[in-house]
Amino acid sequence: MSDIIENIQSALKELKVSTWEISDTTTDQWEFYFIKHRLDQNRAVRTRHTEVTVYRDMGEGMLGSASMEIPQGSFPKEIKENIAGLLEEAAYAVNPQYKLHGPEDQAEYSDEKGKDGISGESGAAENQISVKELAGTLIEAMNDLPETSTEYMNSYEIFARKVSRKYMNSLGLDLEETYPGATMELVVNARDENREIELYRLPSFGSCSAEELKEYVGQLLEFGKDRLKAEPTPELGKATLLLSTEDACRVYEYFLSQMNAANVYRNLSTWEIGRSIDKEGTFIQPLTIRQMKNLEGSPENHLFDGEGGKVKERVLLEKNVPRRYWGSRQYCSYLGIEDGSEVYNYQVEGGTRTSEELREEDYLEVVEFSSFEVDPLTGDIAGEIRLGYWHHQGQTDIVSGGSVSGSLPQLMEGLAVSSEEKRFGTALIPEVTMIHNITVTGIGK
Amino acid sequence: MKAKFSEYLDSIAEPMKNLVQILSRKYDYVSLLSTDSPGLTLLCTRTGKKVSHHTMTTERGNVIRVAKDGLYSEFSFNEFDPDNIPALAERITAELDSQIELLKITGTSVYETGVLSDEKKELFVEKETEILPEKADTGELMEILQQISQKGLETSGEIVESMVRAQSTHISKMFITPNRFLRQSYVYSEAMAAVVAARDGMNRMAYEVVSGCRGPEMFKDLLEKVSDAAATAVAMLDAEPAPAGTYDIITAPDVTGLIAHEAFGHGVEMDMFVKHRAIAADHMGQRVGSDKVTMHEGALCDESVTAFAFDDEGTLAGDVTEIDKGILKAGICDALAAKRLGTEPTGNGKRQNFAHKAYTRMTNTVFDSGRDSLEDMIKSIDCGYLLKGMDSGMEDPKHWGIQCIVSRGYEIRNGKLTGKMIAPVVLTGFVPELLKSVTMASPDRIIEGNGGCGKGHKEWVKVADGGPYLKARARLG
Repeated sequence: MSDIIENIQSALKELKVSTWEISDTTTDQWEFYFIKHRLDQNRAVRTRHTEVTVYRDMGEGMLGSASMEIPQGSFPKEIKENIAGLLEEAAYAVNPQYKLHGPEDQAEYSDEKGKDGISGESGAAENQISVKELAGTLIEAMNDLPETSTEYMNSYEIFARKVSRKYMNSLGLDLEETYPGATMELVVNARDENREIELYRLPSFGSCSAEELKEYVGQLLEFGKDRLKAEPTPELGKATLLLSTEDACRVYEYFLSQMNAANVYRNLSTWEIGRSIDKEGTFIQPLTIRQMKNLEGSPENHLFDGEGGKVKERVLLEKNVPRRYWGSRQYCSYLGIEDGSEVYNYQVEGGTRTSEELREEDYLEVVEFSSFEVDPLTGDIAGEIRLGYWHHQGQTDIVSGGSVSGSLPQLMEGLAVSSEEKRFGTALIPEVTMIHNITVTGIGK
Repeated sequence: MKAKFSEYLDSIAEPMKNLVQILSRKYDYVSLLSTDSPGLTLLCTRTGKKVSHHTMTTERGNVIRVAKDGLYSEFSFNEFDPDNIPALAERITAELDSQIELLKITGTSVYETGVLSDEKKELFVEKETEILPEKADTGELMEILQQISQKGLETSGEIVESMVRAQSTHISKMFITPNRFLRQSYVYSEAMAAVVAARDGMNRMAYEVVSGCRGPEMFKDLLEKVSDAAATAVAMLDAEPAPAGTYDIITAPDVTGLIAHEAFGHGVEMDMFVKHRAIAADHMGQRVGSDKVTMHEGALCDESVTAFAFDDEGTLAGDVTEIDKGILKAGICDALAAKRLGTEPTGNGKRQNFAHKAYTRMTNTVFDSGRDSLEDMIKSIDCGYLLKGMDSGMEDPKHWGIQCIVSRGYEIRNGKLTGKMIAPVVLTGFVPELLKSVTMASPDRIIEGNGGCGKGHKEWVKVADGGPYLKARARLG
């Protein structure tokens, strides 16, 4: 059988499609599902997904486009029919003209030998790990946890993978990279004579050391022990919320959303380049957010985005002043950004005060929500409290139940962050994020 | 017209039967699920349009499930040569043997499970549709979306965006074991008009939806609904924060569906019973709601986005009465969990796609209707809210907590709607307490299936839920 990409390129040529993109992703993944420490099921996944987008010049500065995944196993005739269909449909999705990324946009890329399969500078060593080795490391780490008879793993799922992705387009851009990744679903139980509780996490890693994983699960087991002692969250009215887990990323994703080129172009964000979001000069924290190319341990260290945009370090927000929008090629182009890209990894710079100093005031630290959500469009905050620590007047009460709510645009001025930083998945953020004046609906007195 | 079964799947049926036969020589159980589901997504916004053939459920691929000595293993793939099935069989066994080798090195023990039954069955189902997504007139459909979007934009000068997203998928699935050969084909569609209003840097969004086991012909139904979404978005600009407290509430059918889904839908997924992750296992036969609460779950409950004939493990679709007049009666179960629990599968074994594991998942989750009018419900409340607009929710089967994020609440004082609105609203509580507080249910029965449902924070599948207006008491924040 001839390769699917060759068949797609032949069809594009025969149909005289002058502007096109192809992305091709192959995933090799091993999965292991455990109930306590017994294997529930093992799975192997080997998939390939090949997508093509065709563009059509509609004149008067307008460009049509349509896209689809070409199923594996398609015959050349089917591929040609599909692409002919896309060419026709492109006439119904017409938008202002923009230019795809060309080889010139990746000038520095070739110097990094990206085509040798190196996923950025920090990815080289990680990339040598096989899926089997990565899975073995994770399985063995989970066999060596600080469990006790009252705090232990209920169940867990291990996903170890290697992904190869390729991007090519009609301007001659031809990129590829290979990178490893791992995701784990962790369910921890803790119990006493009266009841049993659980905590849930879904962390992702670029690679994973056994020690890193054991430390992560160890903290979760500690949280489990505390949840057993939790009392109903009191009716606090307005309080200071402290976030020290990956939930804090939801807060910063709202900031990123406001600087997304599509949201700006569509008037869903009013954030302007060079104009501080702290209009009254009342914000506690001058916040700086930076796009990062490589973040050690991140599962998303990429050389290029899904449209061939060069991923590199860029300052997006500097001391509360938007400096640069980010996003898809189409919307970046509309805003005059010719070298933009999607953001995979980001850093939020730490503040001037340490975590310890921030913790000197009264605050509610929530380490487990049902689901902590910040609406990326409205900034509405909501989350049911599963485990929190109410620190007040020198004492600490372990609490559960009730919820936090509020509007981030109205609460941003009360945002404070620690100087220490910590990585959660694709984000390097302050170890502690505080939001003052949030509404806490309790279930106790 | 019939939604014609995939020619591609028909073309690989015999090679795949051969694969199952070859693997059956080595394994105690073998099944194969093959999928071929093309689709269409159209997007029309104030500033742009998009045509794609990717939806949440478009796929073409295969998953082999085998069992040996009590261990179930799977291999998912979409690249193979149908003319060389023995080579494919070798590839599958080599990969799975390599995993077993690693498990031996790590000293991993197995949760042993009996062999699934394989009763003889042949089934061929092609459901009705007006239009197939792969044959649809894209230009005509985009014109309709343009009209819907424009109508939303023209409602008010404060509307900044009127986005219409419409999707349709033609599902074809084939399930093969040594004794079973099941094939099904149906089309489901969904569309949403989401309108954003803005004032002084504040955004508010409201939406209206259509969905069901039909073709893209349903998209035009949004034309009648988009003005409501636009008017609501503008009204929400004046909404006040929800005052924390416990109130009498009336849930509109979409919020009723969210509660059904999060409260007891996830709570009786019986793969969670196997892991001792669901408190419901200890409360079968006990009261968990008021007499007004009866809840059904199953693909047969409604012709919705998840109205399949058989699930992803080859179990025929069902209709389970989970709660009958407040008494917890039954859960839902995938095939492996059923084997482990010594019960029967209910047709709820679903995968995100062929590359994912099957879990116990919901299909249609629905509260039964009652006889109380919405007007009487409102009149019965001194101080409370009518909740509309499902945003999101999160399950907690272990502790029966519930979190529902609702778009807005309409204030009720002294038996009347006051015209004041609160937004957003976070509804939390203890599931049995919430369901025991249900005192009235309307005759309505509205079921929608837009968006997706995760298990934990992954494994996204199509589900539908709904029911009538319900009156209950809940904590809002």
